[in-house]
Amino acid sequence: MDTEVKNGFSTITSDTHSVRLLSVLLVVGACCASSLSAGDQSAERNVAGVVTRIDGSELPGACVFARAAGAGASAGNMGCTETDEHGGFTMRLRPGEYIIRAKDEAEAYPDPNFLLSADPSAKFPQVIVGQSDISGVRVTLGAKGGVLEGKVQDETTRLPIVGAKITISDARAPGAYVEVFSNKDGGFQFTVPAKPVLISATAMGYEKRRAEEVALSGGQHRRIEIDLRPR
Amino acid sequence: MGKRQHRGGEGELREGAGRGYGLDHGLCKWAGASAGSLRLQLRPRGNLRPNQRRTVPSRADQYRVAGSADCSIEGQAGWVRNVTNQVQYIDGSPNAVSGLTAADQISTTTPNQLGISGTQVGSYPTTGDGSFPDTDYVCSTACPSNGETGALQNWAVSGIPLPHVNAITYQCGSITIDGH
Repeated sequence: MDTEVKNGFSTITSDTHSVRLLSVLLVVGACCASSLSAGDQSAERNVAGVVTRIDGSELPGACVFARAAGAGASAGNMGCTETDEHGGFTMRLRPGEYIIRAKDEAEAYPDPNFLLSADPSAKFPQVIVGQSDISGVRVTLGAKGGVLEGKVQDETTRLPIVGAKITISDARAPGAYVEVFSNKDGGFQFTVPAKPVLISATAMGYEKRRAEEVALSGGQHRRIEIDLRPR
Repeated sequence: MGKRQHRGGEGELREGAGRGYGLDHGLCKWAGASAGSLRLQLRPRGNLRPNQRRTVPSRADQYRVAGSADCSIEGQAGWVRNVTNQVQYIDGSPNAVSGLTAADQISTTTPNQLGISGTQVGSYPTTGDGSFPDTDYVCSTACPSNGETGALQNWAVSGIPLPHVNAITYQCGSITIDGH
């Protein structure tokens, strides 16, 4: 592996032996391409690593993302690579700079792509994909949150409300929020981070339900019912 | 019954009743029966497309989720939207084949008020019902203020370009695909 390590703090392991390195940035090969645009598929390189819990145990079945992390504004889409039984993953990436993150919502590890889920205890390394494959990327998930399940229904008829918007926001930072829309049964589900969140709901033809604070952690499950009053 | 019939002619736009839509470029057409019995006769050129089905978290197919993005870059903010794409026939039924590779390309158009200079794309294996999870995002120093960037998204499945081009609109508080 042709790897240079720059300053930082994450742990990187190679295929043959574990080496604890102070690093957050891997520079591989002849450095990066300037654009992440689609191009030659053959330019893709393998980026391999492992996802662990905060206690160091490997996490199978986690979903690993690579998001562009260059300096400029970016947009696009990310696929999810699932970890194997040992928490290992290999993804194919085009040249460029990425931040590698992971989630396991079934295990109450929330989606790190949402600002709401920001967790300083998580370690999501940055990598620069160049001309060589990368191995030894170590992704450490932060604290377990909780799984919030709910149902939105008409206060009067008790019938489910389809397409109701449930807003879940950081109780301390309201700019960090997600919008979840109820399904055909009025149901919704979301894995919340281990911090207090505010939950409010609204639907067309109904009064807005004011925010209620909920705090889940350690993999707790909570089921709530939200009654909306017709206007 | 149970055959896809070839036909010639120009493509046509079809809108299904809530099941998505696609362009039929005239190679094949449903003649009834199930997708399973027809799959081997499918000639996919022009007939398949990843179709935005519902936006969902990865574990449950019925819920739509979007929210403010963790851009992790100083000064940038943005939006994230979880989507499940599904490769479908023109009538909206799934191309229920796992292990196909769906790959996209995105090019920005005008306006580009968010100053998007790079677009991230990838390739994704389909699951047994022809679907695959996908996460769309935008991050920009122009956010969280107002602004909008347009983009066109092309898909290919197992190397075969699909005819429909998605129109994406990126904003600081929303991402819409073909208006949805």
